[in-house]
Amino acid sequence: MIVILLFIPLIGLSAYMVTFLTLYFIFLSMAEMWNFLAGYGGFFSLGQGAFVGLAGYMLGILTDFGCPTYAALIISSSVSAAFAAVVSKPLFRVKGVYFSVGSLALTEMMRIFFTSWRPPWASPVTWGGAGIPIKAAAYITRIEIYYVALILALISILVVKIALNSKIGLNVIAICDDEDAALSCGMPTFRYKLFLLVICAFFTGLAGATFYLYQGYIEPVSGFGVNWTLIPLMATIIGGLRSVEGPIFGAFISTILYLQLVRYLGLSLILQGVIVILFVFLAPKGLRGLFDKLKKGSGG
Amino acid sequence: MKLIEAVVYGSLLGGAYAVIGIGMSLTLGVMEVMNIAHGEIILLSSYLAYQLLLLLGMDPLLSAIPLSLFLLTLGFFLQKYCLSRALKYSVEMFVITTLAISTILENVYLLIWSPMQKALITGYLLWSCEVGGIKVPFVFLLDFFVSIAVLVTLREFLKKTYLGMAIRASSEDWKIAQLMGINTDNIRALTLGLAFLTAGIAGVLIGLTYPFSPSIGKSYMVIAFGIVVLGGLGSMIGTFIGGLIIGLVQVLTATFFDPAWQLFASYLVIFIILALRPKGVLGR
Repeated sequence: MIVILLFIPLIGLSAYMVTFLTLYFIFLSMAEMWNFLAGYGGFFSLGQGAFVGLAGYMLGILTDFGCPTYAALIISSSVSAAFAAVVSKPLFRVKGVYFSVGSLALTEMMRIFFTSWRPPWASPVTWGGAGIPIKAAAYITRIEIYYVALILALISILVVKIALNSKIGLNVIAICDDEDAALSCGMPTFRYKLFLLVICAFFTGLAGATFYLYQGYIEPVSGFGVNWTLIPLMATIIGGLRSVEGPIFGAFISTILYLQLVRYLGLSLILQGVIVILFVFLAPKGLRGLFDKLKKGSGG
Repeated sequence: MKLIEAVVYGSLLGGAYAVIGIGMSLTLGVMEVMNIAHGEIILLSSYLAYQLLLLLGMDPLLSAIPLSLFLLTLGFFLQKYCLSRALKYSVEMFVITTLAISTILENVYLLIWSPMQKALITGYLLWSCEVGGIKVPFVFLLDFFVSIAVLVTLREFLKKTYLGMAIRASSEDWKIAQLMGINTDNIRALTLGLAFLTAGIAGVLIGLTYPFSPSIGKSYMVIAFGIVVLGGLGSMIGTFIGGLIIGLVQVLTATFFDPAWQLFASYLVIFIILALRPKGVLGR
């Protein structure tokens, strides 16, 4: 399967399909990370936009100063990860819903910051609400971005799989199930939570930066928008929380919705909201849960 | 002089913010969840008041009464027949559902009322009175006193009436309350209804004070979250102080620094307090 994906652009697939797959890999990576954070860690972040937007802006700034594209990708996602480490203290202070709403508030704060702030070197027509162009996008081909996205998605899945099979993953799940019990067993819970958030921020940031490399410009309203939470959230809810395979299917639907309705962003967001509500009410365990139920039903 | 003026304005505005926050504090205190769509519900009231003013010429202060009663019913039935199913599954599912509702509402407003700013324009918008050389707009005084009235009424309701006591008992322990014969499903629905009611009043007040647009609902929600963080849970005085702090920070930033940064400054204060005193300024 992976080998086929590697050669797909070479066999002359239509530009639309390459775009579709590129976006699919980007969304898949975001969804895997959100699933890791929310499904396994129990931290329902609603502020993925903060990591995406920050990495996108850093990519724009770095390539503006002549930083090579691939180095800029890594540095900008590292900035996202560092940012996550800084804000982990207030976010993890209070448990439960505070984290969700706090992360959403954080995204709003970043949006206002990038709407109001104008760096001294900026030209008067950019920054503010207008956003900035990303220079590197002009020098990179679509095929190159396709490979970046493919590798990103593969690494994301691999990282989640390896982490879940290691001691770290087990500890994260233990914290999700009962943090007080984990703490009383002598587990340094804060360190694991920090690790989880930083990993998630790094790869979400990398996915975001790749997206903006493809898009070519970034502005604060969409960069720090709620759609960066809704896309991975919907992909995970459709596929099923707490399963590495779930988002692989869910992200597919996210991408179709995104590409078909890209011109009607309002309508697309309404539809995404409706889908999320339907899944919460009818199949809270996602398609995987439905599938399991069907199998159980026919077996017994 | 400028400082006194800013402090007066900030405190009066803080009153209106307290009404934004009280609904959030109520749902978090009793149901242990946060309604992400809180800001959009406030906006719903603003937009409906705007529509009533436009079509029937109804005064927003008058339409606040039917609007908040409508929202009370809406909140009650939304929780009873819809959100309760998400809440039964988990708290996070409730949060996700309300996030979806908030996104849907915001984009529906965009389709109906366009992204342009709207305002509730009335005859008394320009009234003001002068106290000790400071010109205080009538709307700011209105914000302040209506919000105090709302907070005091809600406090008395929770303390004195049977329903209020049932809400407080349930917030202490759902299981025991249920054993004592309280219909906890209805209590949850009533709590969300009350939160929506205060949102209805807040929508009219804020709509009279500032222009509004579909995207501003998220800011209301964050301010409400901030008030809960600053004031701590379960006290009207805490909520009021939370509102005051946010109002003061905004007006002081706008006066002495730059109006573009006023929201950012208040958000920053929220995060600093969250890092230093997660139980609120008054918290134990």
